[in-house]
Amino acid sequence: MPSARNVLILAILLVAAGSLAFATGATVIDSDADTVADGDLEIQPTDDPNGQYAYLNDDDEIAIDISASNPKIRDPSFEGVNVGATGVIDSILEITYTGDQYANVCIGYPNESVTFIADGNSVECGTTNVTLAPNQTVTVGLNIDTRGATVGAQLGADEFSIEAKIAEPDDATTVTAGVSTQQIGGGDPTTTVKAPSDNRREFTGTDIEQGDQVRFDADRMHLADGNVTLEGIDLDGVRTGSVELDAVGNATPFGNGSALTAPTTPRPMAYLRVDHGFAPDEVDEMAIRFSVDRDHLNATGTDPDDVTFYRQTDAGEWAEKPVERVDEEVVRVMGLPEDSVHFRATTTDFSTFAVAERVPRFDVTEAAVAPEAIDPGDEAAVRATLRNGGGAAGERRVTLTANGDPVANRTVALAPNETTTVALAGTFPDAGEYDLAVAGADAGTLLVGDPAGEGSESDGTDAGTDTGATADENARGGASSVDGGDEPGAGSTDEPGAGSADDPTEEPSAIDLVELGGLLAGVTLSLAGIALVRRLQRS
Amino acid sequence: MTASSTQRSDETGANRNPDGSGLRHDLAAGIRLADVLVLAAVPALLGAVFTLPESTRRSLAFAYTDPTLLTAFTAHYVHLDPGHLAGNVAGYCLLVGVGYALAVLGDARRFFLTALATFLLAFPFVLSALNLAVPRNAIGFGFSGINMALSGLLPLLLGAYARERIVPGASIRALPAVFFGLVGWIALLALPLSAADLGVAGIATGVAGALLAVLYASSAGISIRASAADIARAVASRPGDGELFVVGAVLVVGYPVVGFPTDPAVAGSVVNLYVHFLGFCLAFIGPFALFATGTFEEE
Repeated sequence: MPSARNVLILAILLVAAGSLAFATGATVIDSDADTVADGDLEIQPTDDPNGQYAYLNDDDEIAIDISASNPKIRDPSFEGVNVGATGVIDSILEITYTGDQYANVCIGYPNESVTFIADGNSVECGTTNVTLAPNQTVTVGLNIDTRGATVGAQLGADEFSIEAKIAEPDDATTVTAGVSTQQIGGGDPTTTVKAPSDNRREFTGTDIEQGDQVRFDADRMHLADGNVTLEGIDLDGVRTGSVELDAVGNATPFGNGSALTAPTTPRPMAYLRVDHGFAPDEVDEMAIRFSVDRDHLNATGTDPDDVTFYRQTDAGEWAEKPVERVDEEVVRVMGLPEDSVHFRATTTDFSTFAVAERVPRFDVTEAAVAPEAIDPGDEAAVRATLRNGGGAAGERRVTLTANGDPVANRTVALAPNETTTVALAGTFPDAGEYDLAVAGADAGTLLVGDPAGEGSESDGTDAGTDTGATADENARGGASSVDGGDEPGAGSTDEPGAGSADDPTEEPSAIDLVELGGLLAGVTLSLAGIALVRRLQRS
Repeated sequence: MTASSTQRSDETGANRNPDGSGLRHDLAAGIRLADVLVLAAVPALLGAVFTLPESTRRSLAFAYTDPTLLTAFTAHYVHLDPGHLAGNVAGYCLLVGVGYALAVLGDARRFFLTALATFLLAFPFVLSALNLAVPRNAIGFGFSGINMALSGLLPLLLGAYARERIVPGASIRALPAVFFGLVGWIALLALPLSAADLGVAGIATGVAGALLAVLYASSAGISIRASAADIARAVASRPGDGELFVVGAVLVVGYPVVGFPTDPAVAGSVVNLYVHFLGFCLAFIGPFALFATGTFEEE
């Protein structure tokens, strides 16, 4: 709920303009409702506290007003929504379909700051819609993001439309039929799958015997449009007579959930929320079968082997789950759609999931220039250690810059968790001070001395003394690469030296003095421990 | 070595005093000046090489793209910066000091000196040659490959010492179990631990090493629990002897931590863990074969 402030006020005022495309028998449930679609849709404020933001105006049109002008809000201190606020105001109004068929309902309101949502998902026309059965009601709220809005601006103040159409025959197999019941053989569990909308399934399993497997088919439920779809959910080792599952898919994080984050920075492709009506310990394992359209994989440059699956833990963290790609031969034999790549993920806990792509992430863990002072025209080399902290192999062009200008680059290929060291070198004809960076990471400062001066290391004087370079001279001037060869695959081995160009990598056989000190400390502690034991024995 | 282990134990027991003076006495009696001079010659040599001009030292490093027989040997005595030299000299002093003491008191002095001579003279060629198995544009140098060889020898010296002064009659046959355990330990230290790819290899090798150690010990008829209890009682009851055994044991387990850092990349160079591992393994396997067959039984 937005709180009031003296400044930074934003008012949202929306008025519905009913528009509907079909006419059947109309029923108005009560008098405090706005009816559209010839009465087949009824819109009214909810009884929840947030229902105060909606009311019927003088024209009996539903209006949403989140500002001080809302006649239902009695609190004099309430002024509106803060600028810069983000959040969800749910359960503002509810829409009931009173017709006798099925209706796809959406709300038309093209505004970047305000999104109509139902169950955390957008219901705005053009993205997705919600399918209502006769006398079914959906509760609608607002997702608000006023970052970038102007103080005092009136956001909204125009009309939104509630649009509906009868489910097309194509949809009817999913929606009107809506409910499919399956029983395989005598004694097997009976499964029922309801499809209220493209991105929602309600699974029910009954007649389950101890330890049974229950297999639900989701009939390509949309997780992210039609590109990522849920094929089904299998429950193994069920120890209850009946189970209920609700699955909802979405291309973006759910309204009250967080986006996928993990140390390897995977790219989320779709989200899936599974609510269940049984205790977690009543099912041994759940397998989630999903598929990704081949054209979508090609269009996004996604390697099917990099598709993975995450589960959000109770603590909000995202944990990668085992996922396997279904063999193409199995796909053919099983009669699965061959225009998609099929996957099967397993989990023992249920919550929110994400389908994601493992991607490479290159981090510069160390970068240093040597020598730090040179004469004009001499060469300086930066040795940088890169690590692929992502979850997939990849290659990246790494650029050495001096005062922001590129000097040299290399293409480095690394497997996940692989580290390599590359050398990037350039000659610097002009005197000055250069801030060096590798892939944006600081690599130190290079002093290029005046040949007539005393600033260069090769002169045998203090490399840190003033080279006499002016600010203009310090600007990047004429540095040239001597290491500019772009060699794909350089550094692709585990040997850090493999990526360097001309200079061989130094591989000392060395030990660290500090760690050696730690070892001596361990020896000392052990001896002290023996002395203590002996003393205890004597006493 | 002609007396039985039990007899030796009785003999050394006569010199064992509650304050540990027996160990000091035995040690003083066993140390020879010539040995000390030989051992001290190594740091002196390393220091002398370090005084050479850097360009000369670089020319003595082993370039994998241009290997020569000379640099295959000299590279192991070359250091390019003082920190590198200091670390290796300190490690050598620690390992060779404790190793020599264990050898003298464990009737394995000749075995130790022979092994050391092998490490100093032959191992440089072997380690450099094996480095060529992984072609890359790099140069190798430094003494820690030989230091790791000393680390690999330490379990053998510790076993000989334990047989003489801690648990008389202890079997040397169980030492490969220690080796397998240490290899697993090194894998856990050197390989990144994760649930994927190389991380799994590290964990798997670590677990396999531990299992092999247990299986080998069992097949040799040795109860790890009973042996550990015997050693603990002996260590607690034998001042001097117990302390030296513990120092040796801590070095056996702790030196791999120093020699196999998790992140080998340091300031633009990378520690050659491959050479470290080769040195450690070769120094255990070869000498153990000779040691177990009694080749170095001292008269």
